[in-house]
Amino acid sequence: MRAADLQVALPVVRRETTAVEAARLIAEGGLVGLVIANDAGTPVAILSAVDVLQLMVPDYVLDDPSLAGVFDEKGAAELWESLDRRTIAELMDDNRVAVRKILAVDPGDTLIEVAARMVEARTQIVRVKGAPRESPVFVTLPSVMSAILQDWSGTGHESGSA
Amino acid sequence: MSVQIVLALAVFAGAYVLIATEKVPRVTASLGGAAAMILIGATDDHGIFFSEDSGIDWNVIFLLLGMMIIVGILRQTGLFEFLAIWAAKKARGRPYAIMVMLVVITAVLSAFLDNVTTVLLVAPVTLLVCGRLAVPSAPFLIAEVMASNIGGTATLIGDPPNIIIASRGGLTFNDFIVNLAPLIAVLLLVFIVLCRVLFRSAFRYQPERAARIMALKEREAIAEKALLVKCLVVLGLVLFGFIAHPLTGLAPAIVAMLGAGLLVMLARLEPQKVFGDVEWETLVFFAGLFIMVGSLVNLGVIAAVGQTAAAIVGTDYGLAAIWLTVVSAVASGVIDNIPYVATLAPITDDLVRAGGAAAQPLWWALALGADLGGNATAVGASANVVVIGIAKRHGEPITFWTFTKYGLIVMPVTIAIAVLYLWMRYFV
Repeated sequence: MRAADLQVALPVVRRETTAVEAARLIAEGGLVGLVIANDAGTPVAILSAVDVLQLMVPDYVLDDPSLAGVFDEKGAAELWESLDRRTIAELMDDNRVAVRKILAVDPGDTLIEVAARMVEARTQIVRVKGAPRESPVFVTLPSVMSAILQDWSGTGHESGSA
Repeated sequence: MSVQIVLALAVFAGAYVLIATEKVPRVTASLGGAAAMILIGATDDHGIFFSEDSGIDWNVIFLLLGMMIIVGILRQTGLFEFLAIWAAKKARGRPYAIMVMLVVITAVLSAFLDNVTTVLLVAPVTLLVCGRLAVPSAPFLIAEVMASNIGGTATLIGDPPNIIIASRGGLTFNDFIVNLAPLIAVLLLVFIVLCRVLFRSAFRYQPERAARIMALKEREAIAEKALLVKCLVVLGLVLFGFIAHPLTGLAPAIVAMLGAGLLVMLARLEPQKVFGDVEWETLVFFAGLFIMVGSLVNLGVIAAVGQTAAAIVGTDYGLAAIWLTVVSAVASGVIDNIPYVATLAPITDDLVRAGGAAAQPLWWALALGADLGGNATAVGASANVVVIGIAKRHGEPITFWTFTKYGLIVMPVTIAIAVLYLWMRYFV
């Protein structure tokens, strides 16, 4: 199986995308991360879904997680009031967040090549070269996992067996 | 003046400039300066490791290490968060009352913990409280860090300069409590009144917002009750050890290390949690400073400055104390008070040895000037810089001048009262 066989289109966000929009994309699409584009619309970076989650948690709770327990349910719900004012740009500029440059693979790269490069770069999404800038395509971590399992089953193993 | 002395003074001045301007990390400047002193022959291994006069002050290093370990474990209990939220609820969500409570808590904690640690503990919960109240957090953060600098002056362990002064001057924990704590209590009261005036625009009371404070569950902040009990028992024993020094003869560094060892045994935490908060860079920075100042001691520079100072001062120690307080306050407003005190301590020691009991208050003048001077500007104390960083990350930045315009009121007021106190208590 090659990278071109695994490629899918993914939503691409920009620095000014709000936390609400980012959360909606992740929740509705079951995404493991988001692709960030520059002003010209070219995909340049990857943010993992957990990094986007960080944008939703107040920074004082990140600094001191024991404070998370002091809110009741109503109080916790009130914390989300400012989500539409927070943007992806805050995460990109936060030195605590690992913003990863997007990695590109060739359409003809094999599954093991794609998997190895993902692990090496600790990234959940890679771009497949050759697609037009306005409609980029990507390979995601779940599709790589799924392809590996498919290959594994094809070698005579039973899916679900140890 | 020999070439060696000229070189040593150049190295010292160069390292000072690098520390003050933060062109390189301060630990790099300190270690680089120490290495240069060794290369020019101003000190050697025996002087560095074994000399009480010109070597690394191990009392200071190990006292800091012991307290860092204890505080690092204590902060995992959630005690500070509990106290701050409890106080905010006791104040029934009224902003000024909350500021008073937080200022008092911060000042008292700072008397026993490092100032940077204290503000790191109090700042997140302050942001939470201000968010609930919908009031700006900057006035609260500025008030807290200033309270921390004031409160830290009260005890031997409250501020690193005090640890250096205590070690060099042979002063005990009780000496600090007797001589400085009463003044700090007065300064704290004055500061609370000043806060009412300085930050008056921040005290908008909104009942519906106050209700959000009352809904917080402070008990949930306590992570592990058993660990909290162990920490409080050990901290109590350590404080008792400091106070009981006249009976036991145990140096503060030994008491702190024994306390740290006991708590490590009782807490049974993984090493990362035990030692994760130890600021190794700070300890190495101190070591480098001691080597640099010790080199000047070896070369007779400090003694010469001390003799010159003694000739200028004569026996008028009252005037000397006032000058030392004011000059130290101004200097500490612009440069790190740790290298400043590390340099001034041996000179003050010479003056006190020459003057005897009459010159003893010079130690308090140095401590008050160096500690309270940190409130003057945004860069006057490490804790100020830390709080400004937290505020920026939170999206409510505190500019240099925002901080300094308050500091240039608070510092002169507290220093004026300190000078009056020194004069009335020791020289009238």
